[in-house]
Amino acid sequence: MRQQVAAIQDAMAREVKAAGTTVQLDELRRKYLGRKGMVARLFDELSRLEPDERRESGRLLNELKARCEEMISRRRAEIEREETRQALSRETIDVTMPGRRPPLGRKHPISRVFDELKEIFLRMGFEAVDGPEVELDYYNFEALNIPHNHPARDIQDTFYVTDEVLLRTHTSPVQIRTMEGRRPPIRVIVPGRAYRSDATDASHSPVFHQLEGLAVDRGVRFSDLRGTLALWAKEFFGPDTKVRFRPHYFPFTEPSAEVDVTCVMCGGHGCRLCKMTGWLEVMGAGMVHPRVLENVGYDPRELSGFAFGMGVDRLVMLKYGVSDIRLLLENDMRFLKSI
Amino acid sequence: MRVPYSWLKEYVEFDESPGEIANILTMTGTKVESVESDDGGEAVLDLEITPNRPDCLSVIGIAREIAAALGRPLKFVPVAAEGKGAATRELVSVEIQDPELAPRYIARVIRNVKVGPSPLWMQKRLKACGIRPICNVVDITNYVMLECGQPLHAFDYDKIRGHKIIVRRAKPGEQIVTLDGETRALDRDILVIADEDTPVAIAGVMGGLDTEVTWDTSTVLLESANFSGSSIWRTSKRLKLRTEASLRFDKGLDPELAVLGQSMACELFSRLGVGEVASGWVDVYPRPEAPRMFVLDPGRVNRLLGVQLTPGDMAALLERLQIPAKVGRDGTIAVEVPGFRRDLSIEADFVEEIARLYGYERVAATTLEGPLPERIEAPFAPIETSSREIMLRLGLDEVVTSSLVGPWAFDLINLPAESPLKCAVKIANPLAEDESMLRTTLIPSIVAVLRRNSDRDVPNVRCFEIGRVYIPVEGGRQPEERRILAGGLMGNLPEATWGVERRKIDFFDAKGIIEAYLDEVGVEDYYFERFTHPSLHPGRAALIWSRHGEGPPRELGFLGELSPEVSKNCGFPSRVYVFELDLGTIASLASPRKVALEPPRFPAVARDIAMVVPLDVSYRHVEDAIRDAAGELLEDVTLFDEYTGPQVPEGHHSLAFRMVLRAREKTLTDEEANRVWEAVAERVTRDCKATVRR
Ligand SMILES: [Zn+2]
Repeated sequence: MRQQVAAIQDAMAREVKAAGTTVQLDELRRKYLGRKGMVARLFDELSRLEPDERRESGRLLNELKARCEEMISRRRAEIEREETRQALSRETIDVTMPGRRPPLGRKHPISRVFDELKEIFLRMGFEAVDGPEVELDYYNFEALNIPHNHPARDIQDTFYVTDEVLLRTHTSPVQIRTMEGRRPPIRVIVPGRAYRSDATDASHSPVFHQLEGLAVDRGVRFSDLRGTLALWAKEFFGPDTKVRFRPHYFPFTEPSAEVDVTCVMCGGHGCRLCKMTGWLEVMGAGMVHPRVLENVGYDPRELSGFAFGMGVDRLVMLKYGVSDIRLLLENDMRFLKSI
Repeated sequence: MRVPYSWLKEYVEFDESPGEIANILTMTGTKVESVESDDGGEAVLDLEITPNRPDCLSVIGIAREIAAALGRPLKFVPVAAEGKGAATRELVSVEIQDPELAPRYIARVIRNVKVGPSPLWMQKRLKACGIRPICNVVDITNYVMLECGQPLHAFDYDKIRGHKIIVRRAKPGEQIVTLDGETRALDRDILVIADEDTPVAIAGVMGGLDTEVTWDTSTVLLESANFSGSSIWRTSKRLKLRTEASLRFDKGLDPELAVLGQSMACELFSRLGVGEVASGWVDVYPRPEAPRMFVLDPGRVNRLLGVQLTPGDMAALLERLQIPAKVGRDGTIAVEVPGFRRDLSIEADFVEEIARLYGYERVAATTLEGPLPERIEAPFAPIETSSREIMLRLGLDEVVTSSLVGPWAFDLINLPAESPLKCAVKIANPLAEDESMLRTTLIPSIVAVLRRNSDRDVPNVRCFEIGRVYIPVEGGRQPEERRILAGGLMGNLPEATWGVERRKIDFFDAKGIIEAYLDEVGVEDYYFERFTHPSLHPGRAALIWSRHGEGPPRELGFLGELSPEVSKNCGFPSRVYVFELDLGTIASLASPRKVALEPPRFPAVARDIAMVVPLDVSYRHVEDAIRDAAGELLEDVTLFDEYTGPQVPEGHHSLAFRMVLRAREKTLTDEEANRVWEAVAERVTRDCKATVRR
């Protein structure tokens, strides 16, 4: 009996090892462990043995049965792993093929810069307001201390609709409209579109975008303007950016300044972009002219304020390295998708 | 303005290089655009002079700025050229008829003039400043103007009838041929210099050809006058004539400068031997200006700037600018405003003078103090922001286009002559016809963007713009500026990829974008209705309405396929879809506040229903009928198939819907779901001429 058991075990071990599919394994299982299988037949022979021998052989047979079961199930697991492996291997793809991208809407760079500016100034307590683009002469010029028949009007080439109505040449009229509508403290920014009858070239467009800022309260100082814009420059252009104030003239501010930032290209060492000066002019600013305050019924002895206005198209150009302003309103999708 | 570096050195001592001087000037407010060199390699500063500083339109003015910035004295000794021989008074008479427009007029006479070329050193400087040398007489007047800022004019004395100068307004119908050979019509608003008979010069702008100094001139009448700035500005604008003289006069000059100008010129006439200056001069100055005094409060100056300067510091800074300033016992500063600084009239002006000389860069950077203002917001900002965000999430690219358009815009989209959109705000002085009006619709802008891209072989574009249109208002000065969301789609979907089916964008892609947008922005009860529009395909255009809230339905906008004519004119290779929505209306209807919906607790039952419906029954009618018949248990109904073809009778299409049914408080039984199905089937059969497939 012992020899038979050993022989069956060896034979089965060989055959199980040779089996390559689960179907073959099922067959082997039937052959050895089935109801009429080889192991069952040995069990049948037990009854013909002496009781002592029977007990011993029964134990051997039970062990054989268990071992066979184990061999089969181990082999089955192996085969299934292999089958899965082969199936997955047939599903192998070339991962270097291109992915399918869902459409991704992109914000226009002008909107992006406007949003960025709004966020910076919102954190400093400024809020965004707007006003009409087709404006009255009074708001665009007169109330801003730019009288009729004055050379200050030459600074801005104006599109007129009628003698009294024009396309605003800057977002500054919204300063007046805002101050007329409320009492200080005032901290507003005005993102918007303005128009000048400049001939179009790489840096001039008759339609352009500005962001105006205005703060009016008791005790607003020129140094506050310096601090506000220094903070803005660091937030917008990066922490190493410095600002430089140069005295200038605007009819609606006094003192007035032109504001430069360290060149975004060379960091201030001098390059072609900054004409070797290391500085880029980015805006005009100053303390609100007392006559402007008077024009909206504020007492300049009691209140003071600062205002600034920056060309957003230029900021876009500096930020994204755009060399021609006309690209911004042209909307070539390849250009828009590149930034 | 161009100023030779060496000329400045005649008035201030300095060793700084041209570049250093440029930087010093720029940082104290006189911007140097560039440092160039003239023919001989000498440095010339090119300066931007702001309109408030006509005194800086001169070598002396710039030298004064350098002296102030460096804290050094200005080397300037006024010359007095007395002349000799016959008295000028005997030779010429001057009458000012309008002292408002001509506060001062000084005349001098130079006799035995030998007209010829001016010395080379003078010619060189004139050229460096951009002025063409003509002859010694004219060159002297220009040279002095460049040096001190006072425009001068030389007449041929013998051609002035009656040797009489009358400064008056031109008479209607009068005209003059100016030095440039142009005949110019004059009127009452133009100030002229006239002799006994006719105008001989347009005051402060340009002299007349008839009285011009020629090679034969033997006696010169020299004018050094002062005119009202705004009058000269108006005249020069009117005549479209800007000259070196007018651009100085139109900013308002110091009447005292006229004295300096004539004496510097006469000194040169004598010194260079050009002629004999007659003794004395005729000076008509009916209302001399009184010196202006100003009292400055140093505390206020410090508070406005955010600095701590002593009154002494401030006075010293002003003194450097040749502005006499004295600190009084009470600590205030008494300032005497020099005649050449006509721009200084209020406290803030002096604050700027102090600050710019102290150095803007030395003012600290502080932050705003005080309470935050009350919250305000531009009324359209929220809807613009949310609309932009939703469109981007829907995969559209944002474009920004010009709001200036021309007749091309209407032609581009085939608007008929009578279209109300053609009533636009027109610009009186456009640069070009293409940019001569403000847009009344965004569709041409969008179509132009699509066309530009299509022309450049970018065939797949899905874009939107948020912008204004400008609608003229009857009887209003300003138009209504409406906020518009517009968009355009063309090409394939998905754009270009492999392994999935690609197809052309169609009407329902555009409609789906609008539906998703309206849902997201919170407009309810919207619907689409076929309409016709001259730019759109007659069978593929819809108005968009909302029945939201009280009152009649509100029109939100439209969408449609561009008509074949428009599409063909633009050369589009595929069909193009456009839409336009009024953000003002949408903002008034949108209710973006939503209440969270918890997931349902009981399972849903799905039931499909397929039917054949005549094409003249609108889809919306069928869907409404299904919703109504299914009642409360219907959670959602979606169309999942639409088919026309051989199996469907002519003039019909087959529609297949999936209904999702759910009860709130229990699991629906099959019988309950079937009852709903039957009710729907019965309703569409009765009301929609549908044949339900069972
Ligand atoms: Zn640089």
